[in-house]
Amino acid sequence: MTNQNIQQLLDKYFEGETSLEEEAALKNYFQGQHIDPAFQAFQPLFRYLDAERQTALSPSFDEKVLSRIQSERQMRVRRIILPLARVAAVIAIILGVFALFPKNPQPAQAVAAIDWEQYEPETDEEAIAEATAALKLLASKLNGSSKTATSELGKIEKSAAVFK
Amino acid sequence: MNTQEFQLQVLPVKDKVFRLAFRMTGSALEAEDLVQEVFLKVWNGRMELQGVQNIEAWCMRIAKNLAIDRLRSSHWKTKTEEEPLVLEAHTANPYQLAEQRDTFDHIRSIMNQLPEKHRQVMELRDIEGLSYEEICEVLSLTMPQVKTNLFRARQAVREALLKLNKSEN
Repeated sequence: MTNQNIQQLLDKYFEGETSLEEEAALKNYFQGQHIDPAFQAFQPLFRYLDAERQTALSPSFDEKVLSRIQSERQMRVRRIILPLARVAAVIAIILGVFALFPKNPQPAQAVAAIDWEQYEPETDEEAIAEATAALKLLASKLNGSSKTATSELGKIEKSAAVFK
Repeated sequence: MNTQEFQLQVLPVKDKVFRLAFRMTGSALEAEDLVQEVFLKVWNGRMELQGVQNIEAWCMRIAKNLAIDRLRSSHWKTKTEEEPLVLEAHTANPYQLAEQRDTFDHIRSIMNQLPEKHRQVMELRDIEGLSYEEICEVLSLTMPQVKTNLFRARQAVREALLKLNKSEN
């Protein structure tokens, strides 16, 4: 590129009328080793702009962003799943309560009624015999009780004698 | 959009978004965090991406708005100052490196003296290589505003450079 071209481009540049391609040509010229002294004053600007363009994020940046996106995704899933899980738990508890304590419980199965009639004595003799047997049983129980009472009383008397 | 498409279509704009955020916040850590936030926003709103014509400009616009929010927040005001990123072009020796840092500091100082909109337009055009339409989208400006801001910014820089060159010679 001739000095005249550079001068024209620089004029256009400072007037704010250059295209991106023309600006790239200027940047390229000022990156070179042989800059005409007439344009030396502008070299620091183009070098500075180029150095600024080299500023970049660390190579681990992508990984950091992707892991943040991943954790964000998990959080979102949790935010959706957790309320649903709570609702499901409440429904399960309600269903459980209904299962354990039904509103209209099944009536307990009736105990088979005893047919007392089959034990009814049919004749007077049978009635007297059963009554006699029942009274004898009662008498024997009563006798046993009085014997026990007498023996226990004897023990008390012996114990009382010690304190006399 | 799945993660693979996200990696192919959205992640490649990360450095441009980072530089914009860095220039606005002045902190590399803050800028990186901000870029992550931008991408999370884009991911969470990926259903709306179908209507977006220029993902790069869209991401940069989100970054600009987030940076403005952060600069206004109390969180930002309580943060301690951070060392700025040191720019280094490909130079041969420590002497050249020191000289270059000095020169870059001068240019940065010239740029920082520009009104904010002038500087932003010039940076988006001359560092990021954005078209006028894209600059309009990122900065929410009209085409005439972009052209005027760019013209004024470059004129101011030209005068400052000539002045600097004159004082050095």
